[in-house]
Formats: sequence, structure tokens, C-alpha cells
Amino acid sequence: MSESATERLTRLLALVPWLQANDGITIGEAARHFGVSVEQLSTDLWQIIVCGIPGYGPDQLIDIQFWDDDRIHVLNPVALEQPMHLTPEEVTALHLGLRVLAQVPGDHDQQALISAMVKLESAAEVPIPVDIEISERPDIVAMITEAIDTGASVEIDYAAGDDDRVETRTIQPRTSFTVDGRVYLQAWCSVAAAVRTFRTDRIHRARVVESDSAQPRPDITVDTPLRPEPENMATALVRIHPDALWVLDTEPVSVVSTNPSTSDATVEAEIGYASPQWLVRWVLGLGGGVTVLEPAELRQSVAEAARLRRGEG
Amino acid sequence: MSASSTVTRTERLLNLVIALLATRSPLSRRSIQTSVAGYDPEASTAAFERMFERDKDELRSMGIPIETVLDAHGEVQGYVIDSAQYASTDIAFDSSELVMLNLAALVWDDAVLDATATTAVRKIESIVGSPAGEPVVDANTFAHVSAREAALLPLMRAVRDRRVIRFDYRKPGSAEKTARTVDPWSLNSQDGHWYLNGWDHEREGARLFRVSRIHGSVTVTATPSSTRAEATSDSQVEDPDDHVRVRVRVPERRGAEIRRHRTFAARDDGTYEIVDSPHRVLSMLWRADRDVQPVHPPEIVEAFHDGLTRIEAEHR
Repeated sequence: MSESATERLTRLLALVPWLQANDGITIGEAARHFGVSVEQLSTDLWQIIVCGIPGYGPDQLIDIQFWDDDRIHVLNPVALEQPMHLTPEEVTALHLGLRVLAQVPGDHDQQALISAMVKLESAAEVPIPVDIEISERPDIVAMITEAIDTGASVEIDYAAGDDDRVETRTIQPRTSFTVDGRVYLQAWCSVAAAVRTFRTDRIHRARVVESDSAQPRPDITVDTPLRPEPENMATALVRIHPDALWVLDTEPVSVVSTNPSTSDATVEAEIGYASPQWLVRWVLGLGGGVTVLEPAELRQSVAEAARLRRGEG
Repeated sequence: MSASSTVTRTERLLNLVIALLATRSPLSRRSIQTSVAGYDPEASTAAFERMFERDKDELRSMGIPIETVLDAHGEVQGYVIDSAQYASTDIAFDSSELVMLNLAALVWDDAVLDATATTAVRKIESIVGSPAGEPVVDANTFAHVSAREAALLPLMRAVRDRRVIRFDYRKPGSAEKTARTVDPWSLNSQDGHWYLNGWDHEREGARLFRVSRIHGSVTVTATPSSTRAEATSDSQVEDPDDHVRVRVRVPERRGAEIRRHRTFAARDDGTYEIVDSPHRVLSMLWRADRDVQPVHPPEIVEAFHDGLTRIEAEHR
């Protein structure tokens, strides 16, 4: 990790008063709270204790004891007993985080959330011009939040990402989580007879069906994934034509080679995909701007899909 | 202690902050050069001044209030940091609010504002006391923002400081990058994408830019920018000028993506209508379920078929 001197200094300045307020905390705990490695935190401490007031005699240096039993004691913070005021970036970062939390389902304390948000707003010198919108239908999110609590089953009209159809199924919501403004739902799906992840923005309609107490709640464990990342990713080689080069800025593609010819400045790139149907739809949506080179079966699937799509016209 | 080459830049900056916080009377440049560890007392005045100016600017950009004190003749007497101005004064969060702030910082885990949010919570905890033990994680509330777009940080600063910015931008469906000069008004995240809303100087109109399509770095100029209130029009979409109204046939339970479009509306004749840029409408049509078909206008119907023909030819 390369860190600039100011990023590092920001942490060092925050570290001294925090350690003083948390007397006797271990290096490991302190490192976790600051989101850095134990080695980094030790380096920080060694760096801090050689700094102080001009003269730099024993009483003028910051004195922190941390080598005895792995516990940290600030003996002399010199001029750093108070943390620096919150910067506008810091206020923005926390305010945005709270804005996200305010819009997602979960059992967090909404009252505390709103009062913390109000206090941050008054700490901000200028209005915070950055916002995050969770663009889900609140009625559906509310229904699901309730179903998670009550254990009710919900009948949903759902469109999976692989095709473009709306299908009805009955699910039993278990947990939900939010990534980049999208609310995901993990639920027991009676069609698949397994736990599935659903995107709530793809639920077209939801209806609570009578909570059937005779039907036992399948005993399953649900892990909240950090990011919804499919396990079995395959890679396709594609050619990107000049009119579709913008996908390089927005899609997770990695460039393999560039054809420098000015008449046909194409780029060959690799893209990961979890389902072939998804990749076929992605290529179709680019209207010929991207051509699949490999694998051959996928190339054929795209040609076939385009032919079917055209045949109707 | 004499300056040694092993004293890093961070240590020099930290020593400067401590010296300016601890001093009762302003420190002159001369005394900073000779007494603060990290500066070379033997260096030429010019070399010291260069280093000191850079350090001072950097500390001020971090929000550290370094005051320049002038003497009776208007000459610079020295520098000082007022500890009352430096420290947070009126922070009072209770323990349940602190739990929320900890959760709010976790939203940024590994993303652009991660370190910023974490430091902020630690600062608050230094004043109001921290919940003992493990960092708070609420298993039943999981929210995450994965934004890693490097452009977000300079954009946030430019919006806040109201500075005109310049960047290269690539519109979807277009091969060329264009240089844009923009008054940045606000940033927001919708559908998992970050957008910059602002006034486009060349196009003389309000525009919405997707941050991930900004190519290369953002130049923040010294020119003050206009605010939204001063502009005559506002924009909620990228390039509103070229929007088309497209009539489509969408069978029952098909065309899920088009059905979710914010402008999707039923017409009396049993067809539906959406309004968006030709690029986005065509993109949705090409990847839609097979029975979803455009009906009007003819240019879109034609472009729809041309695209499919091209795909087929390319994949033969």
C-alpha cells in the first residue's frame, strides 16, 4: 500500500489522542480500529515517539509506552491531546455512509441514525453536495424487511439477469444486504429448493402469502457475502470496435492487445462472466460493437441469438 | 537535534505541527529552519523556503489552521496554530449514535473514502469515548459502497470549493473522447453508478456525467464556478437533447428490463412507450426477449435490425 505523507500524517495526528482515550488497548486492537496492519501500527508508533517540541529533550518528545505487554499507554501526548476538527471530507464520508444505512433494510437504530446525521450536518461548514440514492421501490423493500422478521413467505414476480422474462415464484426472505445502492435479498426459494440471492430492483411485484406455520422453516445458515461474487467465473476473449471503446471505462474488461491501425482501431480484451446467457445478452446489447472471438460455442450462441431475435421482425 | 536525512517527510510535517501548536508566540521562518527537526539549518534560505512553503500548503490543504502573523509593519512575523481552532470543539455523539457512525464507516470498507471515514470515527471517539472492545459490526445490517473511481475525490473537493474542472469524457456509443469544461454542482450515486451534475461550458447546458466514463485525471482549476441556483436549466439525464420516444411491442411477462424503465408507459393501442437516448433504447431492445419489438419511429426500427444483422455477420 502506498500512502501519501498527508494520509499518513492524518492517521498519526488522530492516533495519539485516540490511544490516550483508550489507555491500555493492545496494538492488535488499535490496528483493527484504524484499518491498518499490526506492522503498520508499530511503524506509526515508532515514528511518533521520535517527534516532539523543538529542543527534543526527553520531556519534549511524545512518550508512548507499547513494548512491555503489547498494551499501549500514552505517557506524554505533548501538544496532541486533542484530535484535529473533522475535515469536510470526513464529514461527507460519514454522512454518506449514514445516508446509505438510512435507506436499507436492517435492524439498526433509525432514531440514532437520524440524530447522528443531523449533528454531522451542523458540523459541516457548507451543505454536503454529495448524495447516494437507493433506487428501490420502498414498498417492496418494506414488505421484505417485514417478511424477514415474521418468517412469512412472499410470492414475487421476478426477472433473473440471464433472460428477460418475468417469472412467479414463492420465497422465504432471510437476510438482505446492500451493495452500491442495490438491495439484495437472500431467501429460501421453493422452486430451486435452495437459498438464492435476489436483486430487489428486479422484483416487479410482491405479495405476502399466508404464513403457513405447518410448513417448517428449513434450517439453513446464511452467510452475508462481502460482495455478491459468483464462484465459477469463465473468461471470454472479445474484440471491441471503435464505437464501443467506451465499455473499457465502465465494464470489468482487461485489454489484451490493441490494434493501432487508424482505420480500425480495435482492442482485444478479456471479460469474466458467470453465466453464458448473461454474456450473450451483454454482447447483443452492444449491437455489434463487441465481437466474441473465443470460446467458439459462445460465438455460436451469440450468432444464434441474433438470428432468433431478427427472425421475428 | 540536527536534521538528518533519515527524518522522513511525515516526521518533518508532524514536528512542524507540534512546534506550531506548542508555541506561545509565533515562530519565525528562521527559528523554524533552525529548531524544527527535519529542516536543515545549513540549507540556503531559498532551499528552505521552497520546502517550507510546500509543507505549509500541504498542511493547510489537510485543514490544519496555520495562521500567518504579521507585525506592525505588515511584515510576516511568524506562524502559529491556534489549538482552539485546530481541535474539534462541539462534538457530542451518544453511544448509540457512535454505533451508527461505526456502521457508516464500514459502508466504505475498501472503497475510496474508507481511510477518511475511519479516521473521522476515531477522532470522534477520542472526544466522546469509544465503545470498548471489538469494532462494532451489526450482522443484520450490511451495506457497502464499492466506489473506487479515483476521480471521486477531486470531484468532491471541486464541488465543495466551487471550482471549474476539466476532464476527458467518453459518451456511450461514441468512439471519441471529448474535453469538457464543467461547473461541478453535485455528485450522487444512483443505481450503483456515480454521476456528476453540472454546467457544461461548451454545450452551454446542464449535464449529467457518469463518473466512471471520465477518462484520465480531473483538472481542478483556480476559476470559481457557478452554482446550480445561477443556472437556467437543470438536467436529470445525460444529454437530454437527443432523446427519442420509442413505441415497442412487449408481450405479457416478457421484456423485463424495458418494463422497469422509468418512462415505461402503456398506450391505448396495446403497445408501450419509452423515452431515452437512441443508444440506451437500442441497447435494451437488442438484448431483450425475442418477442419484444420496436414499432416506431422507423429510424429506430431500422437501426434495431441493422445492429442484429451486424452481430450475426460478426459472429459467423
